[in-house]
Amino acid sequence: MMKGLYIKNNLFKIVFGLLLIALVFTIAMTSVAQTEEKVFTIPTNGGLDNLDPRVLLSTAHAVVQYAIFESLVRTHDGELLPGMAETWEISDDGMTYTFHLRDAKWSDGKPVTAGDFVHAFVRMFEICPASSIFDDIKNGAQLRAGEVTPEELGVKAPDEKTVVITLKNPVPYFMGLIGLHLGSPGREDLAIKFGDGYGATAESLASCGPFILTEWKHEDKVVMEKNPDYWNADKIKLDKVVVYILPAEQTQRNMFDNGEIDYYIPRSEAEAVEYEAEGKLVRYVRGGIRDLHINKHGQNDPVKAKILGNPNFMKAISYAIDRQGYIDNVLQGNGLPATVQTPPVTGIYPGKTWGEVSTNYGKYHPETADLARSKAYMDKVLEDMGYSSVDQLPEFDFLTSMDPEDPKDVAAYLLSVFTDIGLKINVVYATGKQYYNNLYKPALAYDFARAGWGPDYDDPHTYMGYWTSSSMDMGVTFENPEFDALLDKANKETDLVKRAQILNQAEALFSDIAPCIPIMHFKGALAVQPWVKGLTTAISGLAIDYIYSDIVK
Amino acid sequence: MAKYILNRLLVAILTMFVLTTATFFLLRLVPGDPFAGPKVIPEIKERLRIHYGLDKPLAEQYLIYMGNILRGDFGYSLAKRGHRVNEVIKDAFPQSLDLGIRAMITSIIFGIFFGIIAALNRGKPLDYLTVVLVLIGISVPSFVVAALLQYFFGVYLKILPVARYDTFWHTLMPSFALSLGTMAVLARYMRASMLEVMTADYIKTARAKGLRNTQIVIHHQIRNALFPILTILGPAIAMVLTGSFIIESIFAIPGLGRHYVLAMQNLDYTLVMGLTLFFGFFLIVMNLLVDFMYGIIDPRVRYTRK
Repeated sequence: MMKGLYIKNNLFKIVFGLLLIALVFTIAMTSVAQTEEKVFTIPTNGGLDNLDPRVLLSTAHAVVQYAIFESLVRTHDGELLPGMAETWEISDDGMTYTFHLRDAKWSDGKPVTAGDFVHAFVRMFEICPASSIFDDIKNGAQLRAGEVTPEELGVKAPDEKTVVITLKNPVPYFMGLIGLHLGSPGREDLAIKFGDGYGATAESLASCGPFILTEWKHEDKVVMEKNPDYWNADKIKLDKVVVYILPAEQTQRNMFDNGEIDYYIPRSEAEAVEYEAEGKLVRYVRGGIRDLHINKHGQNDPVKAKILGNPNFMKAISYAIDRQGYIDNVLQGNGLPATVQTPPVTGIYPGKTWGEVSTNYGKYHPETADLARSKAYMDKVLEDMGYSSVDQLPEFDFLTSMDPEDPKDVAAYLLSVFTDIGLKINVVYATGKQYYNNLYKPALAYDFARAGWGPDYDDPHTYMGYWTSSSMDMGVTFENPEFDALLDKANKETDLVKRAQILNQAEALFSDIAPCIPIMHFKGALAVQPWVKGLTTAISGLAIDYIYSDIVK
Repeated sequence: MAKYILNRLLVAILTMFVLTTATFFLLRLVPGDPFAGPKVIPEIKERLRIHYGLDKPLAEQYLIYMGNILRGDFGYSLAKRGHRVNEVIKDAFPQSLDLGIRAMITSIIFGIFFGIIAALNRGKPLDYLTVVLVLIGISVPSFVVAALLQYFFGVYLKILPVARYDTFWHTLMPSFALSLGTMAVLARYMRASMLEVMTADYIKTARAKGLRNTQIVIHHQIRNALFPILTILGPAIAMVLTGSFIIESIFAIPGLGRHYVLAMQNLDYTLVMGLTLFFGFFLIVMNLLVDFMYGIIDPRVRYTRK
């Protein structure tokens, strides 16, 4: 009897306690103050380790770097805006760019000087693995190789307010390139003061962009506040930008559905369609290529090198890939089959896209599988090698950074293609930074690699430039002097139509024999909260450009 | 008592020494060069080599390494450019500890409570109910619970923030999800322990003396039944602190668990080493505290053990 009472009493307490908690909740939730402040909240997967634009570059880093730094110019919604440079002149031969800086201050009060730009470019060529995209700058590649001194680089500061950049080729896309975060000014004094820790904490960085980095809690969030001294501050409507680091994608989606973040990138076409029905989806033009790299050196095994270096072998694989089928059936339509590296939406000269100019689409790689042709190419390879059957081919290493068992990923599909044509494959599943360690020079520890590329500027050159012999990027092994010469010739050509023809020639050569198989281009889809206004997208640089957007709740 | 504490302390120090030594030699056995890869620039590589004395003979390396550890210096992370391992731990540990403490308190309170309820109502519906709950708690993985909680309270009811670790309301779901497994284990142990105590002679004596039932339950049964619970508390703390990776990831909590997995994936040896030693030391200290607690709760321990 007593026992029973004792328990009932406790049960009552629990029920009462729960009710009390529920009550407190209701009060707490309804009394949330309506703040006037306009805060834009961005999700990112993480990996934000260092915000120095000369050290780390990724989509996640770009989101912060484009906000806190101001390059000489800025591309926004397809338009070229002035940036740290108020005005500029381009010499008649297209080789010399003179930028006149505006009066601007860093967030710690120091003036932004031409020297900050010179320091940034020198540092970029000295330490940044991605610096090769700026090789059009005179002596850039030589500085990276340590062949010239920093004083010989084609970036000079004749006075405090003038930056003069000398190119080796009159490339037409240079203004797009100079607007990248890589080309934003840097602070030599802070780099010296903080040493290895430069860029790793909010304290070690000074801002000069539309927003100021005010708080950085590692692996948690980045807070940026509007810069009142920004030259175009009148047009900046957001008061604050918060970047949350959310490693689980499902969590991002739940937070978006709960209104805690302002945009979300759907993982599949099915998800995109759901948001489209709610009227929250924005479809946009997105650059980039997903491809398969082949290491023609075969990890220094002469037999493998002979097979992998044979363009017919590359084609035997390419013709066995059902690009359209993979996109339709596995990705539920979330992609476009790629038959050359450059997506057709890429610009080439005013009024024309690469899709309208290039003659190489569908010519060297098929949209749907053609197993008969695949077999014909494979037979040629076997003949060259003196083999009688596919079984005599050696085992190949397939390097991937994505779970090879993830049926959604292209790695899993490629494995099935390899198996179907009878190749023996050893999967090397390298996660995180280990993947790049294997892929990049000097390691080149792969036979096949699932890889890809995102554009740095809106020009087909960005999809071909990293395949030259001198490139240190993405572990490429084309090394073809004819291709190098064509690209060089294209960038020396000032007639844009003629330049397009030369690039077309280079692309034809590349598609025909390069150790690279294009697989798919991307479809851009973004779920945006209804209260976000003026969000724009870009094909290169800051893909989701929130800088000039607004929150209207 | 002093002798007992001293003895425990010495064992703990010895364990730490063995752990540190084993970590040192095991890391030397891992294939590959920790500084390999084109992404690590030569200056850092060289500085790290000198910092860890990798150019010196193994015996000397070991001494230098022990010296660095004694000074509490874990060096620079290999993969997280510009971050010191000490800083990474300092930034991330408070969240993990906070989450762990909340989860432990939740699981201790509810676990013991459910155990007592079940034991007092042995063979009755309430007992079966707790048994079923315990079974669910043990068999359903925490990430499933976490995902369900997140969807139900965050997306469906919209009464709790979906993720992140900010205000009190942010802490509720992750602490509960993390506490569930330990809660279930504690409830099961508490129930068994209570039932064992119930038939003990001193309970019979207490009843014979005519004590009131509530008095017997509170002063004699529960107090004595708690003792075995303490034994599993040490490992339980370990479980809560090391098992938080998934929870940290789902709820986007910037804690240690996430760093651990990322460090392994990136072959960030300095960070792996720092975290291993840190976790190890922490668990040793926790077990030491449990040992001391024994001494306080059960007088037999401090008198009979050497």
